[in-house]
Amino acid sequence: MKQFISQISDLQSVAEGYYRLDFQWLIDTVPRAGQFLTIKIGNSTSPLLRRPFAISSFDASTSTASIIFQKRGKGTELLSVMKPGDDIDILGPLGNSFSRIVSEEDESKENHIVVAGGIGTGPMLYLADELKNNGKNPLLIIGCRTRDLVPYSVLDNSINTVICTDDGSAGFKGTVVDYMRSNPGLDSNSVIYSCGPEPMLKGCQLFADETGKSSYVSLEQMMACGVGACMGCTCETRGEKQYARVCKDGPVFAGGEIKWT
Amino acid sequence: MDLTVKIGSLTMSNPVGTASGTFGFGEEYGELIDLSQLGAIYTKALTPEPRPGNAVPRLVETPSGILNSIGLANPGVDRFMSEKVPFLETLKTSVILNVSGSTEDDYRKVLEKTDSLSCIDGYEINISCPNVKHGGLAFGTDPRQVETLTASLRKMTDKPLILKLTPNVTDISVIAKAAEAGGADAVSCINTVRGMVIDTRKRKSVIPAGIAGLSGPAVRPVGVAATYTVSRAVSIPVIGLGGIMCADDAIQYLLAGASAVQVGTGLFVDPQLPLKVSGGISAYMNENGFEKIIDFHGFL
Repeated sequence: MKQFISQISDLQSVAEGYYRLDFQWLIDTVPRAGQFLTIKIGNSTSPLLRRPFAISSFDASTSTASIIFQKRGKGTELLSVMKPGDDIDILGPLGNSFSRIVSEEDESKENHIVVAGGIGTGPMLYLADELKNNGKNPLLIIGCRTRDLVPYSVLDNSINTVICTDDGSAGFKGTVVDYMRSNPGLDSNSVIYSCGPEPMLKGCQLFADETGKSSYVSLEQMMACGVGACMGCTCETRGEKQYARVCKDGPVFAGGEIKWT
Repeated sequence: MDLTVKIGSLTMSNPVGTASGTFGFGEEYGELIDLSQLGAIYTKALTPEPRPGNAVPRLVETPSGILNSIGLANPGVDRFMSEKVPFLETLKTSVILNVSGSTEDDYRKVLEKTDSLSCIDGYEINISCPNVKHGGLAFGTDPRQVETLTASLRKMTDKPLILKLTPNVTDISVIAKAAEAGGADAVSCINTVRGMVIDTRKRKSVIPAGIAGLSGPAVRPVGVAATYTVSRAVSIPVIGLGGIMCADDAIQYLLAGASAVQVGTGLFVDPQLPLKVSGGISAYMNENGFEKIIDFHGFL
């Protein structure tokens, strides 16, 4: 991990309230799917803390990294009105990654189901891309409340993608878990990876448990340091550990490790 | 120009350290900042037994601040010895072990096991936690408890003993005097300020523990005032902290009477901040013809 000042190369709206921000990745360490970075937004003390964002794509040929963010507070509002060429203060890559956590046995499995919900979409686009580049044929399932929230412009046509909307305005009507339940073709020799709101992650984990699939989740939590020092962003885990740091021990965990509330 | 600071028998290379609880045990930030340039590392609070910490969420951002209730999550003294000490032994920087407890005996147990370690250059005693044997009243709010605890620990170590004061008292100078009377080599002020944030939709505290600790630039004037008050009440050095976000903030603390400062919440915004602050202090000294840190004192 390093702290560096980069420039925004592009900033586009990709769905209602969602943006993709591209910037130059100025350090040698290649960020992996599941890893994140933090950005110091503006020079004032409000917002104060750096904001964490998962990496949504990385193009090694142009050293361009991207994040997808939702405008949902003062920090992301300020970020959404920045312009190409503006400086941004990046700290990353932070956290583990799917590649570091997923077991060899699971990696070699046939079916890889990548489930994304809302703001969890960014890192899952990157994971689907990584799996594709590793010769897999991932199924990407994206859950949104409604059609306007689906980030169509950033989807890769070469990846088998299913859209689920709560209101049925696009794709499958229902949740991502409803979709998986209605497709018994997804056999037990599958791995489910998920990132999104906690009820969705919990649903994916339960579904994986019921159907004998492996499951990995990427968590989101309020963070301060981002490097494992402050113990502020913990999640509750099963067994002796009790709490794990989302920023350092995660954000990717084997789903069975997490104690869901 | 001389940036060194003397606390008891210890000489720190410069006045800027990292505040306890924000910097782990040093290793976590090793890739982001040159640790050898720090005046001191004040470690995460250590208790005799491991503590898992409080329920989540433990943090919430407030206007120009953060509210936290971490719950002293730490590995306990035994795992500290096996997991953290080997790294600390590689550092040339002064390491001040922050110690916390629920009884006097807790503090004593940590000192007993760590006093012989050469990588520990001093102790900072967190007295903002409740004393379970005194009805949960925080040690740091009662001058008698502070003096007794300090005197008890003083007998156990020749290393510098720094008492970290809570601002959540009526008169902080009374507590500082009690620490001095007990034999403390210095006091640091301030620990976090009691605060609360309520989720009006759920109608409950955002942080499950309820009242939590506020830090960051929002509390800086509280810390500067406490430093000003305490430095006039005692003759031992005062270490100022609370909301330092730039060199000028640290200079306010020094002018208020501090001999050293700590950067805490500001590290979360800029991991390089302690070095920028010490650079800014030395530039200010240069511009104003100051030779020593003590030259900051006596203007107010």
